Amino acid sequence: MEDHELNRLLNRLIEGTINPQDFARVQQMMRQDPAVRAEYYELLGVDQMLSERYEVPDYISVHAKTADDHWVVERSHRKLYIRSAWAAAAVLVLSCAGLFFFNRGGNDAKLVSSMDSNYLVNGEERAVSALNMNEVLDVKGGVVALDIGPYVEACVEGPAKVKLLAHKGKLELLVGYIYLQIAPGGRGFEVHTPAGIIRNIGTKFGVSVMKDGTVETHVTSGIVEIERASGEARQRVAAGSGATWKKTGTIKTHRNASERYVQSLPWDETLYQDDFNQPEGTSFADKKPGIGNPWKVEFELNPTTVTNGRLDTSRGPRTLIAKFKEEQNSGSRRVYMAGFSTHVPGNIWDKAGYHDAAERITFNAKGGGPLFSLVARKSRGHHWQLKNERDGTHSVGTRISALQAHQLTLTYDTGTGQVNLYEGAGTKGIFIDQLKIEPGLPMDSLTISNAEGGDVAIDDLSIKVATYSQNGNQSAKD
Amino acid sequence: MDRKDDSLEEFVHELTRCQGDLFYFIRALCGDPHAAADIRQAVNMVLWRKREKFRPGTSFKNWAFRIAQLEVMTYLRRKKKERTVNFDADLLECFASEMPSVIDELPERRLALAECLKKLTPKDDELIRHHYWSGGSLEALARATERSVGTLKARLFQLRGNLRRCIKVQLSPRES
Repeated sequence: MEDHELNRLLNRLIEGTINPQDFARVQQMMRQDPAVRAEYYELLGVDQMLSERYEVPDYISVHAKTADDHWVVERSHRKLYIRSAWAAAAVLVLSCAGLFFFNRGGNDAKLVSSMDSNYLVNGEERAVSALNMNEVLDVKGGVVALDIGPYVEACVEGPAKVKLLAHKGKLELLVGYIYLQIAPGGRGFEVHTPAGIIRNIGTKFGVSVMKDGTVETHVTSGIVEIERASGEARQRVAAGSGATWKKTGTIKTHRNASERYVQSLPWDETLYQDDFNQPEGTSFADKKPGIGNPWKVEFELNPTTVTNGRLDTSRGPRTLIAKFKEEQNSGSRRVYMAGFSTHVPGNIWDKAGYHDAAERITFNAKGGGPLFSLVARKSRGHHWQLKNERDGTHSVGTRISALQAHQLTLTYDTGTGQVNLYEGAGTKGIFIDQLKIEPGLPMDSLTISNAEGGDVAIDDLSIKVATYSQNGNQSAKD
Repeated sequence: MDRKDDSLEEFVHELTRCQGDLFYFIRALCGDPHAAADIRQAVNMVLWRKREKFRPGTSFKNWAFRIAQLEVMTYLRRKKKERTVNFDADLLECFASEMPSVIDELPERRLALAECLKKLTPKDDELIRHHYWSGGSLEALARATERSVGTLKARLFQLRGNLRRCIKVQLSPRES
């Protein structure tokens, strides 16, 4: 390709005006020719430096448009870079400080979510600390707690959808489970459902709306009043009782079963954390992580050491065990969350020659051996897949390679036995795979191993657990 | 001031200092200046959340680039269907390994660019200034100079290419 043609295509690429056919050509050339990549970096650098030099930042451009062109440009030459950097830092620090200090007033409901939660606000994935009137909160998983004014606390367990109907006194439950605790000042708070209104008369109660429109309420203390339709006689449900009804038909009363509702945010704890920030060459044998028990090397042909600030299994097969910090024994429902990043291992160039190569991260049940694994095999292009170690079944699998840089998050819910895998940090990442395994088994360690020429490089490993005080709607399903 | 305050001060200092380099790195990987701005914001938030993991004395930039690479990959995967320009994973890996050394040369490149800009004709200098001043629009200049936007755009592409070569010559005069 002629130089000027390549220059034209690269310019279009950096301006964002390249068409898909030309992009495919450029990408192909970049793959094959380091000189093309170098030209791309340099041209992008020219554009970046010219932007730094001549672009006027937003905060002065409004005034500058009416001023003398050269004066503004000359002045911005000298100070722009410094200003931009300080402005960026100031915005960042103020934003962070804002998160801590300024999100406390002015919104209709304060929102706090559990570690394992995943939710949308008005259909968008947003990390928010408040919910406003008419906004729909769609909790996909985990728990979200809402403080609605000074008197009302609502705990929404996913999957559920709620909407604030008024600044303080009304909430609509579209589907799912919600538990409310209302202080005396919040008397009259209303929960709207597809089959009528539930009005609080100073109490603690749960409400659930099923997909078929059935509504249930379970009252722990105080009294609630059901107003199914305007003009229809209101029915009261007192502490210790519950009621089930639809838009039509009778309202059936029964025993209270408020243990079906998650009544508070689960308790989060970090059981293991290692960022491998030790000096190069530090041995993994009894190496102490930030949190958790020292690493145990079960098998290695040569010493496993910290490499580039990571755990890299390159240069031979290994089996390493990370034992978590001791957890209190209890039968409570827990959601374990493992987070880590993978990177290109040191031995990347030999992978074509090993046909049975495998990388594996196995999660072990407390005193009960392997529970499930994240496995990547050469036969599947080293793409991660979940495996139930009890019955040998596998998940559909992912397109995420164990040999490349990715951030992964994995959860195991002991209430349901559901294992979910996400790409990204936390459950707000992209959901990429799942597997159902035996429920009710707490975990106490993980094993990282490679075999037959497989290799994995891991960084920022953490294991957290969210302990639920109630099993929530998971018990209703079982 | 105690040690914690010192660490935080150093963290903010490093974070502030690397903003330009971080943007350049992210932009090279994602190939889109607008997306790069959003991704940099997300990276800044991750860095802030993980600030306690930063060890004074280690390379802040390498740490930030590592986090940025993961954020870019997550972003590109999320936006895959909406974007026509998406570098494949192998190439991204390659960019991520090559870019840090390119970025390290930026200070010398800035000095070289200043020399190269002195050699521009007044017309070309006006075109460059106008393009970057107006945030990419060339319509006003096209009207004022009675040239087409297409002509100006083509000249701008040439100028960037010329400046790139000039910088290269400035940085390695013997080779030239």
